[in-house]
Amino acid sequence: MGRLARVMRIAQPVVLVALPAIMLLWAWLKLPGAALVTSVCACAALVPFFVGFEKSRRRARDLMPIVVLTALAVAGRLVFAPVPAIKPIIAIVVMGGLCFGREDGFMIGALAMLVSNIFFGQGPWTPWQMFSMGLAGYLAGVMGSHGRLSRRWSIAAFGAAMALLYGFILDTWTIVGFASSAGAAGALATYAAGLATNVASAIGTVAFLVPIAHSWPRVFGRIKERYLT
Amino acid sequence: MAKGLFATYHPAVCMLFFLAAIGFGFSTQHPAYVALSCSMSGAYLVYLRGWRPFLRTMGMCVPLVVFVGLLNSLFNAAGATVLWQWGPFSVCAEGLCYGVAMGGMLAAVLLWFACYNEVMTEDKFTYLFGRRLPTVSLMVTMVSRWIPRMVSRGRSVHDSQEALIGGYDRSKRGMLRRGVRMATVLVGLGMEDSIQTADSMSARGYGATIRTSYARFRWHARECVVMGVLVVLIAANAVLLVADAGAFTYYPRVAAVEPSWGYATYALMLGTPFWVELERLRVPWRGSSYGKQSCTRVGAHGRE
Repeated sequence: MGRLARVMRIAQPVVLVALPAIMLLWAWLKLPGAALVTSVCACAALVPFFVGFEKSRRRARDLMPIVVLTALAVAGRLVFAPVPAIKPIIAIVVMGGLCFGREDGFMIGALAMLVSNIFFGQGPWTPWQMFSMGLAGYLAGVMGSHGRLSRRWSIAAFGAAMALLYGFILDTWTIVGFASSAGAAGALATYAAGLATNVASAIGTVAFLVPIAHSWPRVFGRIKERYLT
Repeated sequence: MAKGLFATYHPAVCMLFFLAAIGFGFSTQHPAYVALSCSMSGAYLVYLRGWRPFLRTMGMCVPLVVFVGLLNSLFNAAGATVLWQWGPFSVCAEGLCYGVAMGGMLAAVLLWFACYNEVMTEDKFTYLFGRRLPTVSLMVTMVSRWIPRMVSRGRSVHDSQEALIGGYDRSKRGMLRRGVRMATVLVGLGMEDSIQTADSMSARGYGATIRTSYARFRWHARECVVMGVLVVLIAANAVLLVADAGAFTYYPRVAAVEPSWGYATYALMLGTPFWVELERLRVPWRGSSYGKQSCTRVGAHGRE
C-alpha cells in the first residue's frame, strides 16, 4: 500500500466526523452560503474513501463482492421502489460492511446511491446520500471488526439505527442548507415531516435484516474461504 | 444523445458548465439571479425534453420546493412588515419573499440537475473520471451491467420457485419472505458468477499495467473557444454575482433590486447551451465538425 493510500485511510475517520461538524458549525454561526458550502464539503468528504480505495490496488477478485452487493442493493431499490415499507438497501450495505470490512462497506453504500441515482435522477442530494449510506457501511465494518455484531437482534438494532442516522443526516442537511432562517421551530418541523419515512425505513430494514443476519455471513464466509484468500 | 449542439461538446466543457450553473445557483437568494437561473434552466429543460417531461419534473420538485418555501416563510419573524399574527407565530412579508426566493433557488438547482441528467449521460461521466479513478469507474460500469443481470436472474429464480412450490401467499409477510429468499439466492449466485468474471479479467491482464481508455470525445477548436468564454464568464460572475448577492438583504426590509452588469454576465453564462448553437451559422465546408455530419444532401437522396 502506497503512502497516499495510508494518508487517505487515516483521513477517513477524520472526515466522517468533520463533515457533520462543519455542517452544524455553519448552521450555528448562521454563516451565509450554507447550501453551496455544505454540498462542496460533502463532495470533498468522499475523496479520501474513493482515492484510498483506488490506491489500495485490489485484485479483480476483491472488487467482485462490492460490485455484486452494490448491484443487488440498486436492483432492490428499483424492484421495491413502489413498496416503501421494504428497504433492502440499508440492510445489504450493513451486511456488506459487516462481512467485508469498513472500506468495502463504505464503497458499497456510496456506489449504490451513485448508481441508483442514475435511474432515479442525480440531484443536490447525491453526495449526501452517498456519504450517509457509506457511513452506514463503514460503521458496520467497524463494529464487525470489533466482533460486536454477531447476534441476530444486535445486527437488526444496528440496521435500524443506521436507517435513522441516514434519515437524520439528510434531514439535517435540508435544514442547514435551505431552512436555516426558520430556526429551531423550522428544524423541528422538518424532522417531524421526515419522521414517518425514517421510522418506516428503520422497520423495513429490520424486517429485511432479521432473516438474513445469520445466513448471509455464512454465504460470504464460504465465498471468502474459497476464492478470496 | 440529448438534443442540441451543447450535448455534443467535450464532457469537460459540459461538466464545467453544470458545475458553474449549480454552484452559482446554490450561492445566492438575490431575486433577479434566482429568476434568471429558474428561467434559463426551465428553458433549457423544455428545449431538451419538451413541455410534458418538463411539467413532470416540475411536479416532482414542487413538494420539496413548497416545503422549503413554507418553512422559510412561516417560521421566521425577522421581518418588519407583519402580515398575520397567531400566538407565537407571525408571518411577515419579508419572510414570504425570502421563502419564495429560497424555493426558487432550490427549484432552479433541481431543474439544472434534470438538464444534467439529460446531457451528462453515464458514459460521459465515466469518461471524465475513468482516468483519475479507473477502478471506481470500472466498478460503476460493472454495477450498471450487473443490475439487469440481477433482475433477469431474479425473474428466473422466481419462475422456478413458482413452478416447484406452486401458489404462495400474497400477504405482506409472504412477500417479504420471498424477497429475502430471492436476495439470498441472488447473492450466492452473483458471487460465484462474479469470480469467473474476475478470473477472466485477470487472465486478460487486468491490473498488469496502467489502463488506457478509448477516447470517444475529441478536443476541437470549438471546445477551446467555448471553454475560454465560459471561464471568463465564470470569473466575471464570481465577482459581480457574489458582490450583488452579498449586498442584498431581506431583513428587516427587502432591499430594492438594483440594475447590475452581473445580470448580463449571469444570463450569458447560463445561456451557454443556447449561444453555442451559433456554430450552426458557420459555413459547413470550412471544416466545421458539426457541418460535416449534419449537412447531408437531403434533396439528392430524395431524387435517387
